[in-house]
Amino acid sequence: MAGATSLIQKLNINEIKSYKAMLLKQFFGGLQQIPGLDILSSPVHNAGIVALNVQGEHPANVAELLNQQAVAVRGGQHCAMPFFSQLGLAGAVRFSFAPYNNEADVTTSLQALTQAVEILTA
Amino acid sequence: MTLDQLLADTKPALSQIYTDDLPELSQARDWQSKYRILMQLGRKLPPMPEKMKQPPLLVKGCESRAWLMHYYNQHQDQHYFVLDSEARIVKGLMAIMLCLVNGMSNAELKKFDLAQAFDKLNLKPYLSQSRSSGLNAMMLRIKACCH
Repeated sequence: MAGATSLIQKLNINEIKSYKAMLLKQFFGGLQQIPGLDILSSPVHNAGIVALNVQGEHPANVAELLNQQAVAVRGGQHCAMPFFSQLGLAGAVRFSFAPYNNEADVTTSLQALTQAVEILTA
Repeated sequence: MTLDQLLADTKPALSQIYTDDLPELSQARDWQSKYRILMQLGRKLPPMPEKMKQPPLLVKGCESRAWLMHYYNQHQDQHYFVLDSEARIVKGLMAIMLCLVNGMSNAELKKFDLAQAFDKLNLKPYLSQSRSSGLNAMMLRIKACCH
């Protein structure tokens, strides 16, 4: 936590914000090319988190297939069980982008998600 | 549906998985092929009726919900299980576990080493940390049925 705080203090918070906005723009743009997704997060007023589901699939399946491709995401209810229950969802897959990610990470994530969808819908 | 009917429906499915799918799984060379097979296995086990999925059957420690039912044949000293999961990869992995342990005696079940069995199937390197934790939670629950 001390290391993370120190890194953020060294960086300009507005630069972090615009850098993450750039990564998110790339990610949301790429998601439009992948069929069969339910995107839960909004591309605006977004701090770097994108929650989504592959239609008809439990998020644990999607997270597992992404993990096989070295893309680390969380899959499940993210300690928000009443919220997801209210939405009628088993959970979601959550991608998180941070200042230490780059455009190549976004590309890798999109490619991995495309492959996961292909396997799940085959 | 009763537990007896579910056990009767599960038995041939497990037998088919054991003879046909496990050899194919252990020979699959890449993770994509292994996962395709795992997802098919999940479909082969009969689903547990919603009415039977009661909270006491839920296995704690699984990322997705999974239910386990147990039957012990005291005369023959044999343990039988049926299970279901809302995630088909988990259900496939657990189907393998059931293939290996269904019909075991108390002594066999106590000795059973899941990690070693999954290693033999060349599956261990393909399991994430959270998936392994879920499987271990299921195995603990199965072993807790020993007398």
